[in-house]
Amino acid sequence: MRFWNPIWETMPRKKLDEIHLKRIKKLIRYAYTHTQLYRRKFRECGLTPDDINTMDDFVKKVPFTTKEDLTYSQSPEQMFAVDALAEKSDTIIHYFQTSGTTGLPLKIPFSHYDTIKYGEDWVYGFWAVGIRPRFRFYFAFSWGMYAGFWSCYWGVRRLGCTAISGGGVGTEDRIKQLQSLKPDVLVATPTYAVYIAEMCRKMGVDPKSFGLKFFYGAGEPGPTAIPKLREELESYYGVKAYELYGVAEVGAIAPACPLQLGTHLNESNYHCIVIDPETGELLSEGERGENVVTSFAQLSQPVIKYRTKDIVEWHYSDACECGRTWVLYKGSVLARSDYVVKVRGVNIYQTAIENIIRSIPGASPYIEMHLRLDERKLDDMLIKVEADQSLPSEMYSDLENKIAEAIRGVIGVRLAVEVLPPNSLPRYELKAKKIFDHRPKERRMLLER
Amino acid sequence: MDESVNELYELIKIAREKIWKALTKTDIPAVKKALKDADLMLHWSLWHLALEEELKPELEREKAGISE
Repeated sequence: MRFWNPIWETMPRKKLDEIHLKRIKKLIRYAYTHTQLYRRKFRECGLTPDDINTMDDFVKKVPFTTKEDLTYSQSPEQMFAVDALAEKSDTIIHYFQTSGTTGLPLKIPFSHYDTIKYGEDWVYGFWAVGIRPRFRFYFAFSWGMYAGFWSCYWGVRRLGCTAISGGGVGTEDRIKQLQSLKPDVLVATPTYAVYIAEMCRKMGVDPKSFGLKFFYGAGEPGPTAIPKLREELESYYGVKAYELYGVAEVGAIAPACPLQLGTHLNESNYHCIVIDPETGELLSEGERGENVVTSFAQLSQPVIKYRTKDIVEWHYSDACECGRTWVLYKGSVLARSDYVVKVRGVNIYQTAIENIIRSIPGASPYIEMHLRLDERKLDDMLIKVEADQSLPSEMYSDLENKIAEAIRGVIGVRLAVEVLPPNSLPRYELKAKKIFDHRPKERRMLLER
Repeated sequence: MDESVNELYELIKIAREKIWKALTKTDIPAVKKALKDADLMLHWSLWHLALEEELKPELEREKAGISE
């Protein structure tokens, strides 16, 4: 059977939209009845659940939900945001939070049923690429409060696979575990998987000796968003590399298309629209904009028309070549709306920059993008790139020029580039911090997930 | 609705009604929890068929007057 659930994965668009509308109406009534947040938001607009009868009503009348809405009533004294919580707090069985480098971390509650659906989201992705029960998964993860890989673990159990924990040990010990246990699937953030391969080289270990069949990542743009990164991971480990697009406070919303065309929104649990991040206007198919998601799966802290700040290019797929009728995010997440800057009239997307740099000999995968203002007080970007170990330092300036020219050739604008010696930039076990915003506060939008 | 799916729906509905009845026959926490989990799984199977009535099984039990 090609699909985990062909009823949903190949459902015609008309039927998908009918069911979405039914569920949206139920969800609105549920959130309005059970949360102060949604009662307040609806009353501010002069709405009640009875006013939402068509998809047009939903798109035009229902207000957006933002991260600030969810954190509004958070306090250090309370475990959860009181006005956003729909369940009684004693039915919450799992607590997560985002890392929150600025301001409050977002607290995320899940009930038992929420966790089942969140885990199931991953199973659609596993099954699509050929992962089956009894496969062994290695989690290169320390089991902190990051929701992503916990939900992957729930999915692994749901499918009937074996979970092997790489928690509580450092990278060298994880490499030894991978060598001795020979799992089928490596789960990690893509950046950390690159780092594991780097450490293997230092230890004289061939990552292909682990016998892995798949890499499945999440947490940051990965093998789907950055084709060069996919090539690297597949070449290092001898695997097929995929990623899942998730939003911690919403769910594991979009597993990889098995043909690596992008990620498909799991429409059995989620609905999306895509908007212009500046104007809030609905965008047409094929356009790039901010992904706004409604979850039928996360009911403890409901999210209705939630602004994710993820920039996607969306397509209806009737049907995608893989056979799915679910919305396709071509190339998965292209950028964060806060961090798409316009430099001399050109939108700069993080994933495009990474993909270009990864194809240049002499450049390592370790990159940072620094947003700043130029002398005219317009948005600008400085790119810092670590040189590959093999590149002599007298070649750094030549590499800077090559990178700048390559970027200009693809996206039409020349950016400042600084090449640094190897090991200058930090390494991360979870998602890498690659974007640094040095612009004045009023030019920045707060970002954290 | 497709005939085979209709038959499946009816079977799941019958199973859930039996579980709901069993829930009213016990106060043992361990058994109650297992029965609620069983009802959750059956609701989940209806979700997979796009045939659920409410978003959560407990909302359906409430409607049916099943005391928790």
